[in-house]
Amino acid sequence: MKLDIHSHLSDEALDDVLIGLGSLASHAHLAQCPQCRARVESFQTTVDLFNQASRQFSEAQPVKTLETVRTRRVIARPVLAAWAAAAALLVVVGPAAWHVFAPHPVHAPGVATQAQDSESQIAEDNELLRQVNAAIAVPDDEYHWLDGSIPQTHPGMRTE
Amino acid sequence: MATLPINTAQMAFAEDGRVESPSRKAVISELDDIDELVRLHQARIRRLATFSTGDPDLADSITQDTLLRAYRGRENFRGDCSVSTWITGIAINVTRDHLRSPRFKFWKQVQTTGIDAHEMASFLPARGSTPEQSLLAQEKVRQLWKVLETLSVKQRTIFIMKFSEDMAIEDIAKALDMQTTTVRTHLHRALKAVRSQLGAAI
Repeated sequence: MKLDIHSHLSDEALDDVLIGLGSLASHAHLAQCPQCRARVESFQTTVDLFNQASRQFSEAQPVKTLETVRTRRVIARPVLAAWAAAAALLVVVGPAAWHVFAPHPVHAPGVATQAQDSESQIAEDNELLRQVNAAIAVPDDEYHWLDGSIPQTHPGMRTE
Repeated sequence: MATLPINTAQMAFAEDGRVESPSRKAVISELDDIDELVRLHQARIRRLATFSTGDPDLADSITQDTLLRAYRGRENFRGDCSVSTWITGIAINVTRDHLRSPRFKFWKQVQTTGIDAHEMASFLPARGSTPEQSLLAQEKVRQLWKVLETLSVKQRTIFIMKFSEDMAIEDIAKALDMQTTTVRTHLHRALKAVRSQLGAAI
């Protein structure tokens, strides 16, 4: 690329300089051209200010310590196990207890039976779930940030 | 970021007989100390996650998950890149997992959590500048963040990795498992957006 003092850097050449891939000709031009140099310095100044502010902002955010997370997870396991056992007990014993102790249901004429209630309830639930699925399945490029371009793991980096 | 230097003349044998370089052993000990891991990388990863996702609450979870995964998976670190690049790669994976989850998408639609540009800019250190200079500097920060917010998460992430994390194109490409040309393309698009929205001064 041939550049001289009379023709300023193109936006593309300037971007290459900013991302560290500027050509020798671009750098030679920058050394002579205060206007192009000012554009580079303006960008670098703005980014530097952003970096300072974003760093301070991030450091000021309240965060849980890793120790807290680990402790919470360790504590959570027995608690979760107890809840799971209680839930299992309720599922097994609950229906039997209901049949023994509950008063016999009396249906007035025209009132839906329990089976009919269940079917309509299931239909309502299914409709609700369908609507929720539709709501969360809205395609949005914002969320497709790396889809299709990166596998879960790749050479040189393995997570758990 | 440079990859770890491997000097074969200084190779040592690990306990299980594998050949291990001194530099890798040093890095492994760095990863073994979770407090050191947090001290060196927490703020950096939190900033990357915060400004990639635009969601400080989510960034907190991502940072925690990333550091825990790095600590628990430290034996998987092979030393073929710097620890920073390795952990950044984990953060990218964790972030992607969070962004893909239906739960995140659902809550993102019903609530608005985000970064307050004015609040963020107010964290800019004054460092002896006049009130006018401080206001001008804060305005620049606000304007840049407003532009970055309009980018896709992918472009914003790459922009931050390059200009905030000061990562080399090759390291960004490695962390994202992309071609370097793809990374360059995203950077050019991001810079074009910045230029078009902030004016010809940049």
